[in-house]
Amino acid sequence: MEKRLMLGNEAVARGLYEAGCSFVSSYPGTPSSEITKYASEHIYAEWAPNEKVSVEASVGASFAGARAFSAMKHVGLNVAADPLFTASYTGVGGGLVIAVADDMGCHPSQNEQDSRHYALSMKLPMLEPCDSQECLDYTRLAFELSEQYDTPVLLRLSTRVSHSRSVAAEGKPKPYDLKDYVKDARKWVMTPANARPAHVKVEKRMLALGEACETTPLNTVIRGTENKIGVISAGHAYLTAREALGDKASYFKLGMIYPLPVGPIAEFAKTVDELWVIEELDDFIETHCRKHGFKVRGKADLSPLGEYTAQQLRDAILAPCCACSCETTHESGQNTTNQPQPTPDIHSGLCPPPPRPPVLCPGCPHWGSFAAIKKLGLTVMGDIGCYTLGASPPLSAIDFCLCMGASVSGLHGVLKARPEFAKSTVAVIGDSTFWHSGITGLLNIVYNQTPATVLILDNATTAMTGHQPSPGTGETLMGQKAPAADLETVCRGLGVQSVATVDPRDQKALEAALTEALAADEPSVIICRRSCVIQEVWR
Amino acid sequence: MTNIVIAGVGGQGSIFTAKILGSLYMARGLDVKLTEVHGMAQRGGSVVTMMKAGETVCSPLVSAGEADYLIGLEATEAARTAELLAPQGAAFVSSRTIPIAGQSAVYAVHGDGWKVVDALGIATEAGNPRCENAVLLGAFSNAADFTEDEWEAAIRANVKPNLADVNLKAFKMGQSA
Repeated sequence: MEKRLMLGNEAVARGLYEAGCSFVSSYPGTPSSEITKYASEHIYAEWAPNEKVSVEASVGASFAGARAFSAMKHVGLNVAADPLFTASYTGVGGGLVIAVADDMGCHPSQNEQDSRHYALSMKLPMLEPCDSQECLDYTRLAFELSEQYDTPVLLRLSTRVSHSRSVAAEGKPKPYDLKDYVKDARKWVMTPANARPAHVKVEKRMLALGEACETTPLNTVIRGTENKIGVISAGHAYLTAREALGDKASYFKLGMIYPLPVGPIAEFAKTVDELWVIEELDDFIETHCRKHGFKVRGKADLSPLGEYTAQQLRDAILAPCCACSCETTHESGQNTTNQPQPTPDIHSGLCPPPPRPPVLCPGCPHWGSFAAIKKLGLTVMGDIGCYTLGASPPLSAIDFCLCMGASVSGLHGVLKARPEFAKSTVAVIGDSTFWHSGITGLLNIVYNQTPATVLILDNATTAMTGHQPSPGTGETLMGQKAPAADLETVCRGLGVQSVATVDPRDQKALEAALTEALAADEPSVIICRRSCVIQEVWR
Repeated sequence: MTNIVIAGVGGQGSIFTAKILGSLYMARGLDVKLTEVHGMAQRGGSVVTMMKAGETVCSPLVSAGEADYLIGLEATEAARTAELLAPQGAAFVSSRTIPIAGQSAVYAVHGDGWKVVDALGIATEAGNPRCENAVLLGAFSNAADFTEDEWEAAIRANVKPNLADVNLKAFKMGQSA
């Protein structure tokens, strides 16, 4: 079969196609977005308004007998957690796979959460590929596991795996016939009476998976030339460990990271003098090892922050004090930053220049929105999207940014705590983010009555993640025309009486609209409407 | 193992440059890995793309002092990644600097022995200012062991057919820069 350089996300999409998956629903989120886009080249795929909707739709497709899939970034899994916790109880019809892409180093994200904890708390098996070939193979395999054990399966990705290209061979697509639909309320209707026995089923399933993971070929031992250091690792951290230690260490490379085995770790531990767990973010694997009585080294010497570099690992593991098991000199363990120190480079004599953070593009319509906001000296509740860049200099215009939708709901809380802030505080949220989770916050403002001023920055796309269409743009991922949800109508329908639409380049009009809205004693929405400048250039 | 770092500003085409290099080394039957930056960092921020080629590549990340080659699409960003370059490594860097928002100071941006090329001027002369990366690949090709045919195949495999000729012209002009 053809071998080529494949992006990790492209390889996952290829795996979906080869596994006969016929329904993909996701909300864009870096670094996961390309999976769904690539999938749409072969199979039906769609952008849902948010991750909860996408996963519920995938569970529905699975219930109906199809192989189904959703992809999201780590924080997207928080939004989708509700259906998934209970989909763990129902199990699946057709195979159901959920990909979650963590972001060690916060490349484009607001936190560094470790989504492996979800596997444990949802009681779902989790696979973690380390390169594009594994992305493809594990995706296919995840569907098999899903159906064999009647469970949704989590596929854990990361920025480095999703956004690296490596050589992968395409396989042969295997057609999948829809599973027959059988009415089965005990399986699919999660009332307390059905959930209690379903929980028993889940615990039995975890025991079965626990047994299976003792022998799964996904977990492999790679022998080095020396027996001193043994490393347990998975995903990109495994590749970094191999880069750092090469043949000087032996490796127990995990492909399934939940549940975790005991027997193979015991066998591996016997063959090495010192056992290390190398995992980015939390001590997930290490905790498992300690629970089962294995003496391991890990987070005491390695940072819980960011991505590891090979040098960091060499410093921590191969440093002379490690050889004598000296515990006192491991000050690197207290290292809470991965930032290299800014010293002149010895070879070039150059000092690193100051950071170049991302900025709003020249001609971006958000400049206009923030210019008016700055002129009026307003406090700004921000949200997630390109306009988050309004927080950086020279604008420094954003005072709060938490998660998707929190600008609108957060503003309501601000105004309940300090009613006088209504005259000087606004929320800014993009159109796609508003569809994702701004609507409910606005509904709350109307219902519980704060005179909030909400700016919807409508650039007619989901710009930050790569210009995906959304429910308001009038077209689907598959390129078909769709009814465009109308912001004005929706806001009025929620009960907002004062809805104005302005062009953010028209500063006078925007200032006038802002002044009027801030003075009003009722909720107001100002829609700042102008297309994304990049999108315009492309057209 | 060949390690190459490509440094630039979001939108300059560093991923495209890396893909050409990836095709080039892969056509020699080598294992290749690239790592790239998407999303927020593309909005005019620093972008570092790394490529490794060899018998077997583990992590695509290049550690400090391990890059054989540095291709700098922008001079300040090349300087930022100078620590990645090996002592015996070679750098092919554009003379162009793109100002950093809110920073007025001028920074020393070219290391000793670096090949500095007016990539933007040459690309413009070739017919498309966006071909800066092809110019720098041309400069780099003088240090790399690939035939003209191999380069042409790698470039053609990664650009739209209507842009192949201008990229090849910029590449050739970069070779003699």
